[in-house]
Amino acid sequence: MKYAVECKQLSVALGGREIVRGANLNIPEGEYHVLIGPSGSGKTTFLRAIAGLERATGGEILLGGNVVSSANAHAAPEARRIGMVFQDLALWPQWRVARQLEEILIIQKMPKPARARRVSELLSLVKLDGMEKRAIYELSGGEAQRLAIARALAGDPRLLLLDEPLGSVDESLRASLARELRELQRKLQIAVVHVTHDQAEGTAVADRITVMCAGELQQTGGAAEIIANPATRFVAEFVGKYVILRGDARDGAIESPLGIFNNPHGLHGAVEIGFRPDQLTFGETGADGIVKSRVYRPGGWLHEVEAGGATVFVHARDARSIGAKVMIEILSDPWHPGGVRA
Amino acid sequence: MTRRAIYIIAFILFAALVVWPGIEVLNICIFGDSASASQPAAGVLAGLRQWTLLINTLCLGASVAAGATAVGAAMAWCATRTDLPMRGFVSIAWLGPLFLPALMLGIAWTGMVQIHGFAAIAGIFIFNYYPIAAVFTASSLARADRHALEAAEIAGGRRLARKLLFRQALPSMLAAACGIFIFTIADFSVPDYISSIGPKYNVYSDEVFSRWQRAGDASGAVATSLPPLALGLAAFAAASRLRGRSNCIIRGRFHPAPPRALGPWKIPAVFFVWFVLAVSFMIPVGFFIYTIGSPGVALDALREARRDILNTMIYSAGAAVAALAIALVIGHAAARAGRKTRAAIEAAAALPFALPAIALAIVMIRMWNRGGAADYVYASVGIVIFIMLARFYIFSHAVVSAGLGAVDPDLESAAALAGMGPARRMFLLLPRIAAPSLLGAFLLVFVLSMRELDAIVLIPSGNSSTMFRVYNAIHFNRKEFVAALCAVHVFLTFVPVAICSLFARRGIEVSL
Amino acid sequence: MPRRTRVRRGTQLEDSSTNMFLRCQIVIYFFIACALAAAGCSKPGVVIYTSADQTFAEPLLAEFEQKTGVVVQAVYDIEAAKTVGLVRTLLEERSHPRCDVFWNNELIHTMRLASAGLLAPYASPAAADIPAAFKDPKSEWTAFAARARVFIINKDLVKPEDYPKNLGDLLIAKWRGKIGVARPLSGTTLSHFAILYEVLGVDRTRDFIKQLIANDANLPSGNAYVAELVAGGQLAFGLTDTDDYETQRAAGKHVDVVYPGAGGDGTVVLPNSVALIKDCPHPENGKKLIDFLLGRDVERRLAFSDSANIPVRDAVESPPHVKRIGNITIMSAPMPKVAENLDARLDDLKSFFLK
Repeated sequence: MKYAVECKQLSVALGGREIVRGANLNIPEGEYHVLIGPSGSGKTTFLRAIAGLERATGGEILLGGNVVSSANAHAAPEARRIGMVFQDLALWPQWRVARQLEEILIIQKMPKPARARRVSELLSLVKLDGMEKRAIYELSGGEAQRLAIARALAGDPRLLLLDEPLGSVDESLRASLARELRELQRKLQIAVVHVTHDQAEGTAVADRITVMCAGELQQTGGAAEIIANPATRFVAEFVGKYVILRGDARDGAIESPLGIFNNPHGLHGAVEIGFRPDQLTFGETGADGIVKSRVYRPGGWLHEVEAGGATVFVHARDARSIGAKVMIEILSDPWHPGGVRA
Repeated sequence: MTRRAIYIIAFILFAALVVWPGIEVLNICIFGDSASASQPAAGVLAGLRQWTLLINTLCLGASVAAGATAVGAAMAWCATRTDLPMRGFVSIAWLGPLFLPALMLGIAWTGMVQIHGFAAIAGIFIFNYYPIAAVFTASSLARADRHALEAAEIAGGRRLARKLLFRQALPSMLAAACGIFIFTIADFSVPDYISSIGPKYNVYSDEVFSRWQRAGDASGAVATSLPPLALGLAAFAAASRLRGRSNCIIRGRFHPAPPRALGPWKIPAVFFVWFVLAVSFMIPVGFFIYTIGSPGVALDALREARRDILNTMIYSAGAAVAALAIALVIGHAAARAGRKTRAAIEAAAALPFALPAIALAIVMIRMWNRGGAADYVYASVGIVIFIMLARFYIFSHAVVSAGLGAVDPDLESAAALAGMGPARRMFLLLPRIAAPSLLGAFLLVFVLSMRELDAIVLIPSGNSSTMFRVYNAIHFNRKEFVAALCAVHVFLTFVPVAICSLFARRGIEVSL
Repeated sequence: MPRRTRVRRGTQLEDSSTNMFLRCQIVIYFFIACALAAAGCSKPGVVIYTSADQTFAEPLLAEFEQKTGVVVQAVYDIEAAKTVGLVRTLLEERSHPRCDVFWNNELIHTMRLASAGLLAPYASPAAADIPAAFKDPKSEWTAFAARARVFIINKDLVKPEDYPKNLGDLLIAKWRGKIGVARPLSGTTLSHFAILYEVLGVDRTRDFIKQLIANDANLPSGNAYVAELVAGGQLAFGLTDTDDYETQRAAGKHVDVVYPGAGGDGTVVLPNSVALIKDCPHPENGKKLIDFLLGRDVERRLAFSDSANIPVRDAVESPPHVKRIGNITIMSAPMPKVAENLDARLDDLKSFFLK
């Protein structure tokens, strides 16, 4: 398989502090890859290292099979044929819409008529037709966003890096922009690395997801796979929205605030078990609990319930009133990180 | 006092003291001067005897504007965008030449080496005016966003990043170049002094001067200055149009861009920066101190010129305070007004500055030399204050309105809701919030007024000033006295700025 | 009034910085008041416009103040304008004069003011012993303390037998590039050339100028520079004023002086002149000041000063290096005509020297 990006034991240090540690990641050509993690997990630094804006302190990065970054080699950003959309878009305020794209084409020594064609082509690609002469401050949030994407594509990159590209637009716009991004990527057949801290945004667009925490890559895989089988407690909580409870493992069973479960791995002592909200529901039997709060989610209500000294989230079609006494029923086996002790 | 009353008073003062001289110039140019029954502008320009003078002047102005802007921008780039050693110090030290009028720089260098001709004049101006470009360019380079630069680097490498930076600094550079151009073409004393030996480099101020001096031909004198005035205003308009666009930071946070390593260019850069600092300020001031020799000479000079020194301080401070008071209200109105109103106010305020100082002085003499009550202005330091006010108001205005424009209007609304009257809001609340800009505006006008010679040479009551005294004394070979007076002048210009920057807890802001 | 009280309290919370601003404003107003007071208090008892060098004039005027108690306000001319500036100002102010006394370091412009009707007649008793040649027949001006137009010569470069004797020697090819004359566009050099136009005639003067330029004469902007260049050895000799020569001589430079035209056309002598302005605000004090300036003591002191003026009175003593007026062959020129034609002459001169 041909890879657009390969990272081998990549480490990046900034100011003497290691921000990315021993990262291994292969992204095939044409894949929409989402890098997800909380703020400060090093995902932006990882992305900037791929872009060549930060130097690798260990390991290497290959783009299209060529080493572009290693501890002793560093290709300039402009030599990597990549496009990047910055978190705050970083549009150039001094230039009008068309000029933002044209400047890049001028650097590539494109002749003038071709340049004009390419600019209108790029603008229509991101649905900004006829806005050539607009000033940057005259654009709406969504238009600015699309212009930033067009600018990233102007240099005909083989890899598109998106750093929180939807972070600066409001929620109502975010879903449609995310869809547009995905369509665009499909149309161009280009590899994309999309960095976000928003699990919903990430799972919506990704072919595959990589979860990052504290400078380390925790897990890579399809969205469904990661949610169903998180590799670590962090992945479980951050991506799968699992609620982790403490349990006590005995010979054949695990005792928890929500009841007793099977112990297929033969664990011993204090263990952690996790439930996604959709694994729990209200029923006629099960552990007793009291509803603390609730919030509407499409398809039902998410309730915060106190049960046996722990707080869990329960998804149910119908809302229960706050303070109501409920019984929590378990729909499928809990997740437990193989042998991790509390 | 009601809000309306404040605005009316301020607008009357603004119109009478700043706008009127400008209008009067146009009036004299177009309709001729009743007092001297001479032909109006069209005739004068068509029959202008000294087109060569005009071309000389424009050449000088353009070369100086280009040279000083290039030097200033390079200095600013070194100090803000690179890892130049001691760059914090450099970006303070480059203010030095502002305290040293161009004429004094010329005096120092001609005292040390034999320089004359066009190159010498241009050199003196370039090394004297580059700080204007350096300060403005530095403030716009400091606003360079890291991500915008990185985006450029990814798309087009360092070349595009440099282009972006250049484009970002361009409005400031243009504004500075336009100011430098105007300062240069208005100056007659430096070309006159530098070319007092060797071939004379004639500038058109000579023509303005002699038309007035000999024939009292005010309209001829003023009309002679129309072509450069038009050029100055055009440059001003271009600069202020560009200014609006690059200052806005588009949505999102601002990330200051880290300095770049100079690498092998470090030694040339250090050499360049210190060469400029040395030539423009350190060596000349050192020369003055060396020439003075003993403190007794300085004290004698101080004693001899004490009235002039005091007078200079009074009118400079007076003009700065008056400009600030008017700018506080007018600048506020401009900052809150729409684009067109703002541009109109700025153009009206810029007119007296774009005018050659001598022409402004001629107009002022015509306005106030009427006998009767006007004599209180004409025969006192008042007219000097008014000239400086008209000439430099635009600087106060630009700095104050930029400072007030950055104040959230909600703060004023909140104060109004809390029961604060318009006068208190205007004169207590706003100054406190925008204090750094107000202080900057005050000092800027003060320093510029201290430096000014051209505007006051024709005014009898302006003769009691250090610049005038120095200009006269250099012709009489009194080297120690001149050096002492120059040193004292530089010191006295510097002291208020130093005091203010020591005691201003929030600093001094001079950005446009 | 509950609302009002709350507002008060609210402002007091921030009072430390408010007070600071009030204090700043008070300081500023104080300075303005001081400036106005200073401007108001120093109401002058007499106003003098003078193109004499500030260095010499200032101590004399201070002495007058001390002797009479009359406060003097002096307005000096800028060197570049050389008298013309003050003449312009006087013309501008003719409808409401501010100036009482005009002390000019030359005579021609004073004569122009007289013919423009700006001067009031005043025959000062102090001028009784000044020769009639130096007084206006209508008493509108009085001249004193003269300067002469002389050659300054570098003794190291020119042998005594080669010393120039008259203006024609400036055209000798041997001295090509080694001679200097200030640009005759202002000051005493302008007066000198304006006189040449009347004495030699227009054509001969123009020929002289053309040959002067052809002989590569150095043309600095002032006589002080001519003297400096000669003293410094860059030039062999040049035309300058006696005071500029004196500056170099006193500094110990190897220079010598020649009064041109002895036995020929003669030397141009340019005296200071003093006049009372018509309808001036303080005529009595003005007259007192004129009496003081025309006193023998002032002329004596100007003779002993660095400017080494030549006394026009025989009775006034002078140091040995100052030539007595009786020993100078003075070029006789129709001065009123010179004054009348000055503008036209300047235009003509500009066509040669201002390009």
